[in-house]
Amino acid sequence: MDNAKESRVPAFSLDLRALALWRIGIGAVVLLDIVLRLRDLHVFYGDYGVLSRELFLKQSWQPPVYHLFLSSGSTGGLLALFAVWAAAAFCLMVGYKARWAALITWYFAVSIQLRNPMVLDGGDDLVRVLLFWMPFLPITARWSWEARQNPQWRQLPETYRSVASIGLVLQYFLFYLFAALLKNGEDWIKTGDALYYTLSVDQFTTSFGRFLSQYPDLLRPATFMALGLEYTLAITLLLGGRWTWARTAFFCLGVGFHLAIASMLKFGVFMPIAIAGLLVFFPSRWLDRWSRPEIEPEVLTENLPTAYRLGWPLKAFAAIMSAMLIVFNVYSIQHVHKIPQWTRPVMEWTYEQQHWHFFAPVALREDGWYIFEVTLEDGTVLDGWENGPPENVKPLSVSSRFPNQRWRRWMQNLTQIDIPDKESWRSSTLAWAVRHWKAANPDKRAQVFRLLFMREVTPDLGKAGVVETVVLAEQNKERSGSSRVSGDGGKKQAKDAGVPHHVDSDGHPQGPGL
Amino acid sequence: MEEAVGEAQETRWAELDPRSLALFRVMLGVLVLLTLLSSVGDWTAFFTDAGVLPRDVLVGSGFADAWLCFHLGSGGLATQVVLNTLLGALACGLILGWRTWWMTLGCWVLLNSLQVRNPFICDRGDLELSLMLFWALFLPLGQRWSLDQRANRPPLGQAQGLAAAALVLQFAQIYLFAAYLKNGPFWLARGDGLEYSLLSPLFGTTLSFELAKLSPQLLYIGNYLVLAGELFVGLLLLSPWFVSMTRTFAVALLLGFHLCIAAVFQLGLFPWIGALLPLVLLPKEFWVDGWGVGPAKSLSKRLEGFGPQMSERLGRWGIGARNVFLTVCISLTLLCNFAFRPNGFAFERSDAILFLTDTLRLTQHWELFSPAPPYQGTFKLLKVGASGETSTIFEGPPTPERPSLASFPSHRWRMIMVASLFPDYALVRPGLARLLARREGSPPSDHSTLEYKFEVRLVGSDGKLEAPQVWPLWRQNG
Repeated sequence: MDNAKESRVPAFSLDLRALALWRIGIGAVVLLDIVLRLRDLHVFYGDYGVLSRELFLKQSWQPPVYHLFLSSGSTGGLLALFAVWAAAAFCLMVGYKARWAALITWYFAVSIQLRNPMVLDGGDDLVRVLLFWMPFLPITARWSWEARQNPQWRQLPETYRSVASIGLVLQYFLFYLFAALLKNGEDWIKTGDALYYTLSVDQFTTSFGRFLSQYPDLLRPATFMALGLEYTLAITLLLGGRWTWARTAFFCLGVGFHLAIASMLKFGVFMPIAIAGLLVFFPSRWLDRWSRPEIEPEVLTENLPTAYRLGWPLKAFAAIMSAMLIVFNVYSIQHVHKIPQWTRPVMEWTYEQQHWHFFAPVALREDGWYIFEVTLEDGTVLDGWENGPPENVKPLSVSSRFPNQRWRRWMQNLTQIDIPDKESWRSSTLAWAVRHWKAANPDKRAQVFRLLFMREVTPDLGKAGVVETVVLAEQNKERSGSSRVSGDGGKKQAKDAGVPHHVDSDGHPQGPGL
Repeated sequence: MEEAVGEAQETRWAELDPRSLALFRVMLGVLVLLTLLSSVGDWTAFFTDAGVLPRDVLVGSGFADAWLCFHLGSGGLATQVVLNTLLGALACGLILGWRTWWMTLGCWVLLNSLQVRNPFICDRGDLELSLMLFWALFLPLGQRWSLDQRANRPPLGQAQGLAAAALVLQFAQIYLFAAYLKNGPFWLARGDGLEYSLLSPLFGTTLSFELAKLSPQLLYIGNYLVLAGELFVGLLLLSPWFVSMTRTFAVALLLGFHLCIAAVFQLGLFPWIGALLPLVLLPKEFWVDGWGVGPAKSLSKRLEGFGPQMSERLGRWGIGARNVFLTVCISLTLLCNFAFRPNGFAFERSDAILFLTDTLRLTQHWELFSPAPPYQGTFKLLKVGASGETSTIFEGPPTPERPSLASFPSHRWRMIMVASLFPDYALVRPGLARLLARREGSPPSDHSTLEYKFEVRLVGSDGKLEAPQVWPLWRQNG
């Protein structure tokens, strides 16, 4: 076999072993995400959290779709749903009934994202759109439970191409291309200060990121390099559909890029999701070193892996969705972001809408930290979260004050998003914090609770920043009482609506009150 | 051969016949279907955001906390239709005995989901049906007369032992605790509980009003006969002696009792659920010893060759774990029943026990027309115009004195209107009044005010009806 032929691969093809790695990686990351979400299960999805079902149903923005996670607001019910989700993700990881497992995992991921969109980040979008393609691809052909049961699958050639593989490659291409195209503000394309501003957002930055932010002159060329890298990733991905060296370059650059971001910015599970996603492009040459097929490839006609040969309806659907990806991404560009009406049904049924505006079109300027201020009856003022006096000067590490990425996103949305519902979220967050504080400090008597945002707009280079106190919500002892009872204290039994059972001590039914 | 030996022995207390279980399976499926069909015209009214109980009102009340309610996923009719159609399909699968265990599980989950979506339209029949589906999960319902048997799929569950005992105990608890809770001045002290139950227009019929005219002595005797009958049936089911005879007798009594109730009171599917589900207790002697009536016996024989007897699928550890779980569940039901006594001794359960009982949907109390009978009163929905003129939109149900009053639109409407009388359930009043007005062709408007009230005559401590009084339940803009 001559070298020129060996270095060329069929356009938009994928390696079955890389698909298996991708399946395992995405399954593991979803499991990790589930475990991480469990920490704040009742806070973000329960009826006694910051976005109870009652509050959620009163929001103006809820999409008119089926919401699985509105089925329960109790910890037990939510745990049951999470258990099903985790079981599906595990089955996906091990490759057992993987098509159904992928479908269920995708559906649960969509559902949990719909339940509380205020805690999401780009990683959630990415995992959702990647899971979408899994049922259309032969993800179990290698290294799976199903493959173990079907040893004849070893005879299948490693290279695989279908309309779904084209769709997946296109998805990644659009991801990097539009992440770059949307960075069209002055910071990114003219002044080159985008990285300086990005690394100055203390809510995200790691200590390494803070260190780098002290060198704006160094960050200026790095800004253009980062933007260039995103374009390069998109281009090498397309080239990788033809030459193996380009795919190796894409994989290495992609992994390096996401590791570099993770070293500077705290984005929760975004980095593991991004790297697990890139596994589908794991270079075949490297895989050949570990598992070179011993059997000569053969054309199998029956007992093929699921989705190895798609039927016409699925092929047509995958083709339509590939085209829709382009439409959704084009309409995510600023000034053309209003999605046309005819795409709405597709969007609502597939939840494939996407916009990859990471720190775009300009880098974020608004920064600051949050204080849960508790004024005790004796006049002492505390920070209810830190259990100490409130910090009016900027903390050393603002990003460490958030328990996790979900909390970071929730708190940021309390101040950044500009819709009327924001007021109710602020009140519910304070109400939750108050309940939490009262449970932890039963012996303390408080007079006033306030949720404060110490707002600091990142100053232009060479200028000093100004901190401004913004009261997000306030609860005074005299005016409080509207918060719901925590735990199961407010629970009632309604099973017996049939016959009178509200009776006084003599057995007489009591008259109802208004 | 094994079966022949088994059938030679007398029925044991903790044993159910596979043919009775098959009949039970069919009845469960049919009753789930009837539950759906009986409310099909009111799905918009009861299960959507445009109905009496929008989702934000329900979830804000805390009544939908304990269970997964898939019907809350959307406020539109389409989702309810899809979910209820799915429940109907599962019920059909149960009737046919196709993948019986999964069908039973699906029916149980979705039926409870439906009940949680609007708990105010539910009655004790719904509760009994849900509980029976739960216990059915541990019984081999698909062992006979099923597609599972035809496909030689071994069943999950045992017809003997703890699973069978749990079902028998559940039936016994219903009647024993129904008697236990009839302990107030009406049923126990004065003995006029039956009379006032027959007189109540909320659940009564023309026949009940006629029966209420019988001599007070007869009604007095009837009152205690009901109490004694419930106690007797409960004890009969618990009897470890002459099991086959006592079981058959108990089933016949329950069938007769509930058919009488169906004739006298308007209780929706409750009497049918109460009459048909105990058929599971029919002992094997009913089917083989000539006790069974001809058609039943012939059906049994005709379906006998449907497939071989199948054995238990669970291993030793699985059976052990199941028995532990069943013991916990039985204990939870007993605790739940003993913990409920509105005007007598009751004990508190810990939060963990409450949580477990609610989560498994085992919460139950059987105060059927007790401790006090239903109210003697009528609902009124009025429309007051801008200039003060009043028109009656709805007045009912019919009473012995005023038989021409309007009837409840349906049994489910009856249940929610009765529920609206209680302060704890006041959240349903606004939606209910508005929707009832719309239904009766008089929708609320900006120029008029709706008034929803209940005119009631309470029973005094001397057992006599007091002067009528009006309970204002809700007033639009008020």
